[in-house]
Amino acid sequence: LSAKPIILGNASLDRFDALVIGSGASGGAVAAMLTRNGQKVLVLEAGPNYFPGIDLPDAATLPGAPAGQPLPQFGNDELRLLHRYQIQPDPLTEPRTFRHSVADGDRLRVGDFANFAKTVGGGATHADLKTPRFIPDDFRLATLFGADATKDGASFVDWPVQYDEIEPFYLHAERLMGVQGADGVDPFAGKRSGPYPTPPGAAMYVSSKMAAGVSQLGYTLFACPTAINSLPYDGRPACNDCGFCQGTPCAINAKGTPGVTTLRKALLTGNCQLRPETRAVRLLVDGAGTSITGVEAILPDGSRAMFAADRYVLAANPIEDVRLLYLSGSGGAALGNSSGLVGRNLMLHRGVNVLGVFEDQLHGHRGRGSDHAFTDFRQPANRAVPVGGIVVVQTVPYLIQQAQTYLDQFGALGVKGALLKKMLRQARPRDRLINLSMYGEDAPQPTNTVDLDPAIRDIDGIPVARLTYREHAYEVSAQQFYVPKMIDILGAAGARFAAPIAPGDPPGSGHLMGTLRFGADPATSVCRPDGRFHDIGNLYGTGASLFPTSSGFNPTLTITMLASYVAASIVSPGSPERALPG
Amino acid sequence: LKVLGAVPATAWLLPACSSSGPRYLTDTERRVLSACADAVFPPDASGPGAAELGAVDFIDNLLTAFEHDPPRIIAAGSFSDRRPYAAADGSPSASFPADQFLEFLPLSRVQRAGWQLRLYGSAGTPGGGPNDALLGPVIGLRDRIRDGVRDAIAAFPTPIDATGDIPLRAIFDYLPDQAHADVQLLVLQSLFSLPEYGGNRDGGGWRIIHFDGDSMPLGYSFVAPGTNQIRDRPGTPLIGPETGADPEPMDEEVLDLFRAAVAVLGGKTFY
Repeated sequence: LSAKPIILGNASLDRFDALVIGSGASGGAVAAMLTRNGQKVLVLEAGPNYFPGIDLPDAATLPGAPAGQPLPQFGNDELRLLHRYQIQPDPLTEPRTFRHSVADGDRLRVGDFANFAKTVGGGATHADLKTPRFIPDDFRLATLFGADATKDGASFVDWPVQYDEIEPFYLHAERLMGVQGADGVDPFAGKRSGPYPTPPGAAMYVSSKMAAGVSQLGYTLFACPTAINSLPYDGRPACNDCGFCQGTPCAINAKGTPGVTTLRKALLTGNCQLRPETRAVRLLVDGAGTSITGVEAILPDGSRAMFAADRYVLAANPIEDVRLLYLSGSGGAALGNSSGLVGRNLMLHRGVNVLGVFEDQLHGHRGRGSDHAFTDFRQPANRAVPVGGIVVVQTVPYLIQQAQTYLDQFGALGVKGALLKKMLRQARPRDRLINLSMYGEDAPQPTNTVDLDPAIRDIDGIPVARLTYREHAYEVSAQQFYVPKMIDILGAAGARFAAPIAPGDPPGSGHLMGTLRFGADPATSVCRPDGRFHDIGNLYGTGASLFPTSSGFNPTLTITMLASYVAASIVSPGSPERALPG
Repeated sequence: LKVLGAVPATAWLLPACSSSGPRYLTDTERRVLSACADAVFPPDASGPGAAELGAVDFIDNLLTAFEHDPPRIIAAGSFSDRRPYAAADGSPSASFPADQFLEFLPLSRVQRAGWQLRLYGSAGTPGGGPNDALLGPVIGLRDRIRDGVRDAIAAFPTPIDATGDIPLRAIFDYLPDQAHADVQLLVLQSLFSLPEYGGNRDGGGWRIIHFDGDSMPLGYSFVAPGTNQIRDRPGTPLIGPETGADPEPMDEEVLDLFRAAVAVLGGKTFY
């Protein structure tokens, strides 16, 4: 067991303009923007680093590394990634607790809820990185919904920044991540000021199967923007469609994860220091409670140390950000919470999945697992129908996971032993199943919260995060409305059977949003429009934590975009666009 | 494997994780677990069962993971030596990577604590688990397996020494609930994980279910030289339909299972 701290990047730096907590989509983008503008940045990451050479300009000396790139310690290995907690927090040592409401008492269950990768690069390391933009209407739902914005306890608000204002940051984020896509194929997308960096990659066979079904019902299937290189880009290779992409990191750095894009760029400036396995556990405040003076962190060997900078940026995720604010407060209160909204309006994208069973050989293990989508169900301005989300076409490539699912789902029908073996041979999930997955938008609800569990601790004896979450009629009605349509689409595409799968409780979308909503009014928001806390002058929220509403799209691009915007606002207050690359 | 021609003769030799490594399980426990493995995934005309494919070695490798440094929990690297690099024109080259999966990654302090707790339980972990006082002690997987096998032997209606291998498969259902679930999941993991972990011997688990196996570094597509066109390869289509015959279409028994499931889930049968 190593007792010494792990320091990557410029180890000689000892004074920092900014300290960033978390190295994922938010933290990487913040570090990239600040360092390219000359600021000295320290990034603390709780998890390990699996990109040896991440801080080396030419990492080709590492055996097996892609030319000039870090060596990703990830392969076509379902076991380590989905069953042995290589990058996911282990619920035995870092559990969370869950309940539906305060009426459930302290908690209903202890376990692995809405957990997120804890590793250099964060959740954007293993996400399949579909990166659609939010549409312009997503930023003004309160205006569109009128009185319905607060119906049944919902708390829809407009964003303090609108699409046209932040569009240049979307383009910036797409270029940072190497997004593949095609202009003009999504009839509902907002306007763009520049092209996608690379064209769409190879379309999987399942996509051409589904195109017929989608168009037959009058919808438009298109190549979904995705942060995976279709062609060599930015020194990284093109994807070779190995099949390990959904929920698993990339073995050749074709996926635009922070470890090979934003974070690496920051480290290569010489202005950045990255400390993996270094977990922030407390923010220290000055006597007035209006300024952060340091961060206490647990080092790789379990000892503790203090770090300081001029500014502090929360970039872990919407749950861990709030946990840290509660751990840093006194008397059970969270820091920066004069609004009473810290930890509230947690959103998880309680979507819906509909599985189609086909008799073809779909070979869904060849390709990116998910490369096409349609957005016809996401029309917030149409008040005549429920508001759904993007629907993506997914395959079911993983073997262990699906064998267990067959046992769980068909066990009551007698599937075990020889019959299980037969199912796995004949009803090969990668060949027979297509999943239509709609990322339905959660209504923001102040009663859906993150706080600290009063008794459950992690391996270091620190209180863990508690989620209180219950679905709203807004998303439930959307699911009930669109599921029959999704079933019919699968039928039109040739499925022999189609059926919905019940959402998890809490939802397992992997999309965490809200908890530090931003806005102009300190009474109704935690952070200002530039990301700075209303209450604390040198503390910033970023990324998904700031989202006032969750849209119906995959959030990673918007997380990266918004983190870049916040960092640009630090560099160039009032004129963040000036901090963008020329 | 469908790309057998690309597999070097040495690809399936797995000295680092073979059954010659450290052992936790006794011969009796190994026999019972072999029977359980074949209850989960039995040998039949289609091919071997889980026991022959190395399920018990896989389980023992996990239970003895901490007898290695680093612990054999998380395989290292990006590639095995089962697939070649692509040549400049995108076709499979004659150059294969070394099998990086034979090495294992060091665990972080927190990962180590988690796996130690999972395998050895609160009783075998200094300080125990973080929530033992509230939730009760964590029972380690080593004890759960050992105690579960012991209890199953005690409950089984005939002495196991007097029971043949095939009738002994019924002992799987005499395992206590937690051990039953543990063994079932471990057997599934052994069947379909990388052979370097000790199961899926010679890729036989993949072969039985007609799976290609790990595809890196070759993958399934390439950018045609001098163009921006992305193509797939003959024999392993990505963009178009499969070119070969279906190795095993769904028969009426399997279709009936889907009919029944769809009725329960509120779906539709289209034809």
